[in-house]
Amino acid sequence: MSAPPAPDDNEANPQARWIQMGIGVTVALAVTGFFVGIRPAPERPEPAPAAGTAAPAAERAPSYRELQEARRGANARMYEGALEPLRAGLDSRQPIPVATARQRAQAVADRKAHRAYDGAPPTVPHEVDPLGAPGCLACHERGMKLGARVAPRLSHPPYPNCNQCHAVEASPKPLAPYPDMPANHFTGKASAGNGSRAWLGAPPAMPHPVHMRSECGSCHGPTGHPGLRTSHPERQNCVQCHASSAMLDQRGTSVGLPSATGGAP
Amino acid sequence: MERRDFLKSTALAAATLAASRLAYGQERAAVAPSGAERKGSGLSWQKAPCRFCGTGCHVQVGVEGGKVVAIAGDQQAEVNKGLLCMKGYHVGLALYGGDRLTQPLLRKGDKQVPISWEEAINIIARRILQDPKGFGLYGSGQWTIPEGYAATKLVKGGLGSHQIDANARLCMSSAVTGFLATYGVDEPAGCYDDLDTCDVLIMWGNNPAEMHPVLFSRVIDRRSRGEKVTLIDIGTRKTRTSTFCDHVLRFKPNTDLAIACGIAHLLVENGTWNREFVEAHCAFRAPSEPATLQGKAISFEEYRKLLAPYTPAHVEQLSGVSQKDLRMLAELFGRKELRITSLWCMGVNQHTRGTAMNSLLHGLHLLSGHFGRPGDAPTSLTGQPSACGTVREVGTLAQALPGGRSVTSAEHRQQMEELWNLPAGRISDKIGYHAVQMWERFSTPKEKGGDIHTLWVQVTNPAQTLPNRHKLVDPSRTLPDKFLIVSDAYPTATTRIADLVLPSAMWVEKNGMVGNSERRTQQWFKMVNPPGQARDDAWQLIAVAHRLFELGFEGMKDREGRFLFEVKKDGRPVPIWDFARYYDVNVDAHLFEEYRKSTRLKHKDLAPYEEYVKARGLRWPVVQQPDGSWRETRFRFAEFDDPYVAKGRGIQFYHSTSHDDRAQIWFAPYEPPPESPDGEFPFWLCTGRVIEHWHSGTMTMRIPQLQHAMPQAYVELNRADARRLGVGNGDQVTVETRRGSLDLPVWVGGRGEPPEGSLFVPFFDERLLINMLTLDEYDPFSKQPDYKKCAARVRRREAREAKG
Amino acid sequence: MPISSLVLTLEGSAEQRAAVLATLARDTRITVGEPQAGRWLPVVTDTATLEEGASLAESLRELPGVQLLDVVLVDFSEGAR
Repeated sequence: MSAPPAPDDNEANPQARWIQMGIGVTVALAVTGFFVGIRPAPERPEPAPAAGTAAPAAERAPSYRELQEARRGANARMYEGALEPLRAGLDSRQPIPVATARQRAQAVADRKAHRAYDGAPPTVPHEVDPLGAPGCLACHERGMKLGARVAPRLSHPPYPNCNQCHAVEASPKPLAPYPDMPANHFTGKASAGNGSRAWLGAPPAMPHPVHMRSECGSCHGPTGHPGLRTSHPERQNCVQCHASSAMLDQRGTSVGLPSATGGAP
Repeated sequence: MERRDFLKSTALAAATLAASRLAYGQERAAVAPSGAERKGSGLSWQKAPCRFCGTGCHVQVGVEGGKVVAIAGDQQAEVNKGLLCMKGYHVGLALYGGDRLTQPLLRKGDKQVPISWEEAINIIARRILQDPKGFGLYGSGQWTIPEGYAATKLVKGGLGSHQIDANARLCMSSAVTGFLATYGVDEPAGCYDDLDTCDVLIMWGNNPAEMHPVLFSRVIDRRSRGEKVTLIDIGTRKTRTSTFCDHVLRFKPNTDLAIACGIAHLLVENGTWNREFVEAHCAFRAPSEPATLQGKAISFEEYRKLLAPYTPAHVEQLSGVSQKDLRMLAELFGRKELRITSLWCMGVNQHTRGTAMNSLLHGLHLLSGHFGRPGDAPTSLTGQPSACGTVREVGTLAQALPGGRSVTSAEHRQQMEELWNLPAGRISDKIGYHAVQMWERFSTPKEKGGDIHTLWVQVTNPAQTLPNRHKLVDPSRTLPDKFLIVSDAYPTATTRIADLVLPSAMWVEKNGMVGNSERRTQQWFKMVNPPGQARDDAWQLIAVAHRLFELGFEGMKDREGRFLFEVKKDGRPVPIWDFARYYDVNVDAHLFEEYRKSTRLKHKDLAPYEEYVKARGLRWPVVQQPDGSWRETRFRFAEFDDPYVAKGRGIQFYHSTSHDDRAQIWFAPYEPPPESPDGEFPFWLCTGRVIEHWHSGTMTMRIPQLQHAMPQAYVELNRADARRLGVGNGDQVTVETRRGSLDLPVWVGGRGEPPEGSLFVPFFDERLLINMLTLDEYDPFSKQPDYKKCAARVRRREAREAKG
Repeated sequence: MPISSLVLTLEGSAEQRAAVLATLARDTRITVGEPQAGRWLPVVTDTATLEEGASLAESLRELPGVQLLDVVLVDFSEGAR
């Protein structure tokens, strides 16, 4: 409200608006590509640098921050603020309809596609830089939305070495997928489905462990899968009403003893 | 009666449905009870150490309906504090590869045909009886402690030979000799707690971001919390670890010795070494003529003179590391207030100068006094989950006896004969063959001195992991009187060439105990049944021992003529050799309690089995307190924590080789490697692992998530080399050494980045066996081969050739 | 011999629930199912006569710790013989 009206008001000039959007999307794609590392590995090595520059015997690997700082010149700040529009709408506080059973089933099926079992770290559905300190946080630290694609916000506090736990789904180029992999008969623990309710209308208890996961909005927030979204994003303190399971979170007693694992008599 | 049961169960279903409707309302009535509600009866959680590496993370294993269905990081585990890596999170899938071995197979012609266990055990017993001393057992750092102990007792106490060795020879033995040469006793003084308090972490030829990721995260997560830790990578190639480091020092292969000597030289010349610490607790050593593990004692002045050539300028020229960086390292070591932890693993161990390099690293920490305070530690990491617990502590090696004892000591042999209740003189005084020799003898005709006729391999895949397979493995397959027995869970490069294949139970399909890199002994219980006729490795050993006993073989009897592995329950022997009765008692607990008695000699005291059931592992020495409780030791040789250090001593090296409580600071010179690049073979070839795969990929290549993420071996090239060769990503090239050749796809700008003139190939892929090319030269003391460097050349394959 | 399906709604404290479960476990005529959400207990009774079944159900209703008893179905067919 406090911002002065723009001279070329978008309402009045649809063409300009389309151009702006086009630029926005291009910039966004470039930025996303840069951070996630989706630029393909060069098919051919880059042209040789000027001869006579022997490889230094010891080199120091630059950090992401240094790379950003090292960017100078006219374009140094070209990406500044570029990510902001992509975060728009991520923090909606408007109530939304309760998910239908079908949406929920779909959400559970979609989750299953990226996990060996309920509780496994999800696999990465896009390419990543195979070597560098991963740039995962550029998109996933706060979450991002680009068209229908959503980079969910981390559900756990950021760990710098993301690819310690998250394996990429598709074989990295140029490696060929394994042709005749033997089948694996592991059947992972299925999604627990809905949390149990003490009575109809009571807040459901959490049907999954919350170990390491503190950011419920990652899955249940407005950018979460439609079947998993909370109907009341305006409420921020989830654990006030939704109880976690001591059993699923390994808060039970004497887990190592055989007598304690046979189920209560 | 059946009809009645059916009626009752129908009635119960109706009642349950109604109850669930009451409990959850109309909406859920038709839905079957879900996982969260089934927890009481269905899913149960139990602790187990992860099956894969030497870090020793604990996982919680979720079991339902007799199957492992979920894995979670164990929050009560000190090692990993609830976190795992991608291998650990998928470890449960390792049990369920579709091609598990489920019955014994015997080679007939070019086929392997199913036979009964009875027949298989008979065949092995007959092969042993034919010539007991020519029977070899080749085991593993993935043997559990009770398995390794049973194997040791079978060979050393039963067959009267020492023809037992383990794959840990290929990964850890130089660490052992380094510890022995320095402290007189094996295994690290510090522990993982050092990682929480160090100011500087130096990684020597080490890539923990991929190989020990949970430990690496333990350090870099401190940065996220705002702490300052300086990370230094001293290596031969850029890795994921390098990208997190403050300093990346790249050296020419084999010159790590020159770097260590260069730092020591600067400390001495600048007067920044810790005189007080050294004068109180250390002495100096140098290689002797002839070379021995003890070397010869030298004075400080002699030490200083030996270091004199290693000036920064000279070391820079040898290693390629700049004088500035060398001075930076020396400056850090010279600052007494800093806490410095060194980590190393295969880069230092798989080295023809591995013993020397291990000793030099300990020496740097001793010389500078960066020892014995939390955060100040030279820490050697292990690769396998029980390389320490089984191979090093039990001593499943050709020269070792349990509890840190040595075959060559009459006293030690006599102690073991006492423990095992054997007639005097049963244990041989002749050291057996180490791994490379054992396979060499197995691949040599009998008339030419190849006196190993039968080799039993358990829990390892030597056809993929031994160096120079053409020489060490393949010849045996064409010799008529050589018989190869392999126990494994899956078909491997080794089972495929075996004469007899035995299906093994794995991980939580059996009871087990292992020991990790920080002296932590861990325990788990059997949780699910193995598939088909797969059976425990320890059972296999005991069944063969009992068959020999039944056939009247004297070696399987003790002084009173009782079976060597007799286990009693309520005063009566249990027939544990009958697999149906094997779990009538906890055989693991019996073997462990017997083994435990041997661990006091070298102050590696272990607690009773029950203590490990309660704990997420305990670090030895575990010493009983006046109140009866058991206390673990985090920092050895330091008075504030180690109960075996005398009061008032501060630091005491109580197993000193010089018997004066001093540790040895070694000088060892740089020497060129046995094979270096030349005009014909101009590249260095290095081999190693990747985060997705464990060792030879037998388990992880059957886990879809890991296998998709890293489906095949490749050769890493520097961009400049790729340009020169005219090859790009995905092009097929032929990598050749003097021992063999292999076609591989090129990956430039991939997982790692070797400097110009260097190649890297991972060894997990059984279709692309890089160990056909590696060098079988080994360290003179540890007998550990060097997989990290040999000379190679790369040739571009023409498109036509590549297709054919 | 008639078979009946019942649902017991148990009361608050864990001790009370445990006491109920123990009582039920002692009675060989009773088969206990899996408690739903910790409170709703499905139960099957197997008695010689319909009358005995009815009085057993009444006795369960009186049990301390049982708040409510719902009869889901009663098997008449076999009892009628």
